[in-house]
Amino acid sequence: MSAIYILPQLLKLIKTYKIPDKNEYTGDVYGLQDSTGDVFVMSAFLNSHHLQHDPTLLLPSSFIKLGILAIFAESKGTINSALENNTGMIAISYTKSEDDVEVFVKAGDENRKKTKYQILEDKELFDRFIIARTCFKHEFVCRDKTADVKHCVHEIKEEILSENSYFKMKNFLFQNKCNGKIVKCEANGDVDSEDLVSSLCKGSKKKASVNRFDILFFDLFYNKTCGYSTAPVAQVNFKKSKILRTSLEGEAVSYISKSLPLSSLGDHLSREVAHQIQLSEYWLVKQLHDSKYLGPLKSYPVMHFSVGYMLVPIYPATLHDDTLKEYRKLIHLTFLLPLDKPIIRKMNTFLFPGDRDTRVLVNPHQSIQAPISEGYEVGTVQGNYGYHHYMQDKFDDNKWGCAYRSLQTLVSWFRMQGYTEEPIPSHKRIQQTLVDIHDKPSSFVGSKQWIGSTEVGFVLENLLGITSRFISVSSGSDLAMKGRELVHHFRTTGTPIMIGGGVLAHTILGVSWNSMSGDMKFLILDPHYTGPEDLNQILKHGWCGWKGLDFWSKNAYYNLCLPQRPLTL
Amino acid sequence: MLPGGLDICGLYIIGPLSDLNNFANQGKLKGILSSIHKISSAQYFGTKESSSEKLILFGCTKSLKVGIKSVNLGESGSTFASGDLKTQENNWLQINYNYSLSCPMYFSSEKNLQSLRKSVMTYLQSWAQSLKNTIILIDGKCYEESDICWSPETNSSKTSKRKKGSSEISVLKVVDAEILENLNNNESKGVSEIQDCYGSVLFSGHVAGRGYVIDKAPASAYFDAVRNDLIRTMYSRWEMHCDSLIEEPHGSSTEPVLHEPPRRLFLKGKTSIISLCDYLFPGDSIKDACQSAKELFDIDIEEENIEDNLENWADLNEFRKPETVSTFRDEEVFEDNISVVKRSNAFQFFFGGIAALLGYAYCVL
Repeated sequence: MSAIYILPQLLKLIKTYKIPDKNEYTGDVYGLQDSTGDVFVMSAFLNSHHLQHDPTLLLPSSFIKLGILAIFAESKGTINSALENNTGMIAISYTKSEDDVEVFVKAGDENRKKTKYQILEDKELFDRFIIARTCFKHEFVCRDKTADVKHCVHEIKEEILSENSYFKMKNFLFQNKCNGKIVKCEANGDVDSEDLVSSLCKGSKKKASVNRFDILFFDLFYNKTCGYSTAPVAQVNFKKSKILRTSLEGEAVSYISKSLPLSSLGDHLSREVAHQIQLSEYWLVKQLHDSKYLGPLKSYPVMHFSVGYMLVPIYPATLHDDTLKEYRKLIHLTFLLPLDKPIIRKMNTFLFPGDRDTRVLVNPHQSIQAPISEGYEVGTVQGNYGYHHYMQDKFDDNKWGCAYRSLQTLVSWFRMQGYTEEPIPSHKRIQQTLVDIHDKPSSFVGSKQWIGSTEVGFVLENLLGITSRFISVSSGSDLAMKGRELVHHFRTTGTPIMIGGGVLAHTILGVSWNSMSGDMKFLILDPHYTGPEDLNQILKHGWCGWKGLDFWSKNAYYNLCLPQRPLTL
Repeated sequence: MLPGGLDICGLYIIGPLSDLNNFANQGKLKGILSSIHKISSAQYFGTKESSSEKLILFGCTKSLKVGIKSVNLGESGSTFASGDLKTQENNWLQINYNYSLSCPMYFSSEKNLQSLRKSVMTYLQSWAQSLKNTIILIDGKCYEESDICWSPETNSSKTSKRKKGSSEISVLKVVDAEILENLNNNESKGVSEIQDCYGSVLFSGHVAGRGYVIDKAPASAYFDAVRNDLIRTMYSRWEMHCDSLIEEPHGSSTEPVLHEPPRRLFLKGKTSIISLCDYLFPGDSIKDACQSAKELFDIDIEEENIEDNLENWADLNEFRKPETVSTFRDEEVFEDNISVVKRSNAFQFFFGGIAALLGYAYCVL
């Protein structure tokens, strides 16, 4: 084994897992291994779950079992026996009282040898792996009996896992079980395997610089050609019965090693689709027994910032999140996920390029380096938000709508983190909300009057049920005294902050604070921008960027609205 | 009886040329051509004929000359125009394909029971629609619609030689097509319900198909030839099968029934490299197909030129085993008492009518 990398988010999840009653918990660790032999520990789940289906069905099938996880409250307890029973490559042990994560591997005669591990940096992951997304739709129709549902799912899985499955990406078509043939066919000229590899990798290298996964999109096809020669017949049956008819809008998400031979790509992708088909069985059986679960099924790939890897649950699309809360809680408990934040709600769905609302840029600050130097503590917004600014939605709010836009950015954060399905409120809706709570007279609706931090807090509370904390300073330079508080806010709560002072409103996305000197920098998202959604232009002209204390007026009074996260899942 | 890629392109007439030039007769002929075009385009679930320009091939009994006239049915008021008859070197290309059927349909309304013919036709119509989203591979390769698929270098090994006596008369280029169903079909609706089901039809088995195109035609012509052939053969089989039944099955029957629509075979004349297709019901033999071809087309078909092994009769024992029934498994359904429907001889009249109509086209070809 060359090297062991552990996802930092996973280490945090292990360390922060609240051990409820027992002294010891064991589970499995899953992850990836590429052709170099390097191991990438991505996920872990506990065996003492009460999920009614195999938890691995929620993971990409490209994650393989790497070994076991043992968590101890105080002493190492029965770690040795746990390790002895481990058939995997590695074992991870964590003792809470000592706050110590240890990794063991097989080494020669010694059954388990403690070894070093490395933190898996994003760049390493992005350089080594591609994410492949396969979209497919399927309609399940079967007799309303559990055995029939299982039989139907089994048959579909068999089909998907056969050599008749094809995966199409642009002009390339990959076949499952193609016995070494790299691609079944190509279009537009003679493209050989080398061209394919280089064309895939070229795209990868280009995109890696923007610090995210390369993503390949596939459509699933099924070859209806076969070698048999039995003439068509029709079996007709007029027996009355009841049938379950449910559609699945599936998305299979796979981590593909960049060193994977393309001849194996079809196999990988078909296993991933079969995984989703198998998971849908859980819901189909539930739908048979309880009509409240009826609804077209849909895959919801999620990759929360606090988790760092992809989970792909399936939910009935028409069911409200509240109805699914118990199921989600079981998943949280099983996968060591915190119970105080939504991670696998429908609204947490990973936004693939193309799915995004292109009218709004997401996380424009992401490619800006934080000013990290000795003595500075940095805290930035957690998760995703949309950049809302003047003149968007073909609505002219130049010179008066900056606080409204900042509020929209705040709402976008709560939407993208799964807390609410409320749409981004328009200026009119914001004004109407303030009228409805008697904060403003009815003439306020349709006006061009400004709002401040207090009104932003009112609207968040009344539209989304989000409470806020407020900080006031009598001068911009006094913000330096709030450094510790703001760093703490970003590190714990992680929501963007709306700040209003004088005639201007801004959104603060992060702070860098030196406790010794009191110096402070602010990551500002400026809602006064009136141009198109052009990231380069926005960054070049500082509409999103780090600013010093002098950015704020010494003569203005500032109010900050710090939205608080509800503690819910 | 026409494989994919071939449409009825007109009529042949033998008589005095003066009769053909008669304005009243031209009106009648145009009416016949329009009707044929309309039926051919509308009947098979929108597998439109590729051209609205139709031909009259005539042999003048006075001058003993052969000529051709054309009329464009797509243009109102168009009249017959004389054309030149030319012969050209054979550049036909044969596309072979095989399609696996696994189409379960369920009756969610009692209305469906009133006419099995109509219900299945409605279902086949939506199935035909879904074929629009398929990818068709030609010799294992994927092409854009405007691509030219045939190249002598890549496909040279795939030819079919036919011999007349000892002398070779022509070489037919042959390619294989594969039909890939799109499983990310955007037209599928989001449904989820437990329904009352009043019955089901499960199509299974395999369609042997064939199409003909000019080799240098764009890939879209290849695709159309395959799709049209598949849709038309399914339509024709079910239509012929229903016509052949003594009585139409209806919902009062609770016993499971196996319907065996006629199976397909291909036949070639001595002088043509293009096959026609025919259908045989259980009990018919290939001699019947030879006889039909002789009666309808005046073509002598030798039994060795009949390909009747592309589709074989299903083994009925297969359907008596419950485990062979796929998505609609029910131990009660396929017990030993499965029956096979009885049919009348009425189909022969239908078959004869169609064959006579198509006979014109074949002669023009």
